Amino acid sequence: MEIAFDIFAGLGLFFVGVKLIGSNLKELTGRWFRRLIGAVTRTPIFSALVGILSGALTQSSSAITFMSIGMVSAGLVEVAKVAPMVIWANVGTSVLVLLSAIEINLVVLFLLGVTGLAYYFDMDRAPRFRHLLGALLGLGLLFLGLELIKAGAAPLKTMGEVRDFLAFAASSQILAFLIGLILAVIAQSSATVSIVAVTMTNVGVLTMDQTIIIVLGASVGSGISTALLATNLSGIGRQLAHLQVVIKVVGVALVLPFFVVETLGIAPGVRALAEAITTNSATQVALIYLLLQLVSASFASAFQRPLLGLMARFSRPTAEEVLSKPHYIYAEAIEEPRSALELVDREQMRLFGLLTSIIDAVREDGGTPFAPAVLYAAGKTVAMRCDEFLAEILDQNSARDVLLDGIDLQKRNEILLGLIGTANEYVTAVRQAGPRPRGDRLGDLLFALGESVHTILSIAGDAFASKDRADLDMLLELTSDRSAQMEGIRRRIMGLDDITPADHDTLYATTTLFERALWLVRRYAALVERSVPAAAG
Amino acid sequence: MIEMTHDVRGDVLILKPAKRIDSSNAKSFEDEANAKIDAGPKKVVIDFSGLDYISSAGLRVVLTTAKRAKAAGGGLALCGVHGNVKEVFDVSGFASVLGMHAGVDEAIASLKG
Repeated sequence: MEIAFDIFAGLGLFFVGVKLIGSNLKELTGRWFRRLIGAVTRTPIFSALVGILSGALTQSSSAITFMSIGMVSAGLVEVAKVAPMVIWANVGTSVLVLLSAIEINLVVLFLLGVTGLAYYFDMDRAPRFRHLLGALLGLGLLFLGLELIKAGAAPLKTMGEVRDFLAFAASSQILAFLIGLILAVIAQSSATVSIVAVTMTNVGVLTMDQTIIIVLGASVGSGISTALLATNLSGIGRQLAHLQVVIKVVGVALVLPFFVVETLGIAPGVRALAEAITTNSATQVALIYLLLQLVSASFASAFQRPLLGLMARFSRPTAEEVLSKPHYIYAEAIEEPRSALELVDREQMRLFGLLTSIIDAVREDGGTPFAPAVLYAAGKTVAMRCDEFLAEILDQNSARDVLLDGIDLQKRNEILLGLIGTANEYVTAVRQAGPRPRGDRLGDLLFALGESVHTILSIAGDAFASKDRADLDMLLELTSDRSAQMEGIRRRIMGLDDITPADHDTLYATTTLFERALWLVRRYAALVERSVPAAAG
Repeated sequence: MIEMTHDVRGDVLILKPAKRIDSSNAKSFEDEANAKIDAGPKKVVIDFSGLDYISSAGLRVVLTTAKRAKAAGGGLALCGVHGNVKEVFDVSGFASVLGMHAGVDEAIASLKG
């Protein structure tokens, strides 16, 4: 009974450790990690190296996969650029498996002692150290948990019942494979299951062959776990999740035959390879885990393009993903700052098209296949991407004309973000009012407001693209101050007998948002006009 | 197709669209107006008295017609707007930018002045 509690407590500490490492490292790496990803995913080798590093830090290929999905969905990075990172994150998870195979009792105790003292002296209150200490405490607890499991499991190998069970498990490799698979689905990590299996091998509870099969089963289980987590995903995000599933399954499919051939005594295989490197059975298993990750990552890297093509066939990008992707700006364009600024200008013009589509959602004469919420989210994403891109251009250039134009585009971008938000709020306010019949005073006003704001946004898009001085002047006239006009309309409608409190809210919200939209367009037009030479004559 | 009649009084072309101008017929309005401006008088009056509905697409073709007439050395005057069409012209700012007249005669007079 005591053995069971020792193992149970050890597992508990182990899981607390895994959680502490993951959560604290994510906090620690959050901001710079995102910047780093933008920079290093430019080349596949750097992308793969970041994958290994982040896999080692978080000890979860799922965490890296889902973090990458988030960035791809947000339009920060392309699938093909982030794929090497997802692929090679699996190799990074081998670090802890290898460490668990080594006797590091004293290191663990020292680590826990140092961390405890740091906590005692309140070093965790300093923002710089908080997450680092949390991660170190997690690492210490993880290994302490493993030590407890080792100590608790050591007597098991002499127990008759355990021997009988293991003999039964050993009799069927399929059973051992399934045990690894199920445990990995539950733990959502093949590394976690492999570490426990390596620990069991270390104390002689599991044989080398049993552990290898459990490790292989755990790899497939981890793939299944990712597939289950990805069931609520769609589009490009699901492509990356499916890629991770394929990597896991293909890795096992490639390594398993060598193991079977070896077990049947036909030819030397993976075990012989590990034995040639070390005599320690636990380290041998850890090396086989590493080999499995290397084989699957190498295969996926070699066939990345066709694999991604296959994934794309099964999971097409969603409307939001397509719209959220910048059409003109791209990372490499930054090398040529003048052209890069021109691309931002074009991207901003595209956003004006998106603005009219948002308003289309509440127009009788409008047609858009996209929901306004999708257009709003996509517009916001592209505008924010433009902002980051402009910040990078300004960071890297000191030429006066680039700085002035860059700052000008930043101001326009800020206005665009405001317009996107205003258009979305306007559509929400009109939708909340529900359908209004023609002839109804408020209904007629909403129709006039909708058609007017749509017209002005369309004219603005054309004028900003052509940069024609006469068109810009016309736009400035159309967007002149309307506060007195809107106030008059509000007073007239409020004077009607049948106006309800809900109508009152709709009236104020829509007329105010209309005024704000025109004011923002006017500010944008003034900025564009400043950069256009005066018309001749 | 746009339902539209036209008339020429001296050097002024009078266009009178009927019922509605929306995205389904705005292009045909634009084509017809452009063809008449290119072939005949450059001063144009659009009489909206027969129009009950105008959408954003309609407003934009009115603006392109104004630009076309101006570029050809003429001009555009609007008249006869009423009901919800008037409200659309008022709220959009087109009424103050392009100018509105009560009837065809006043609109023609504004182009001569």
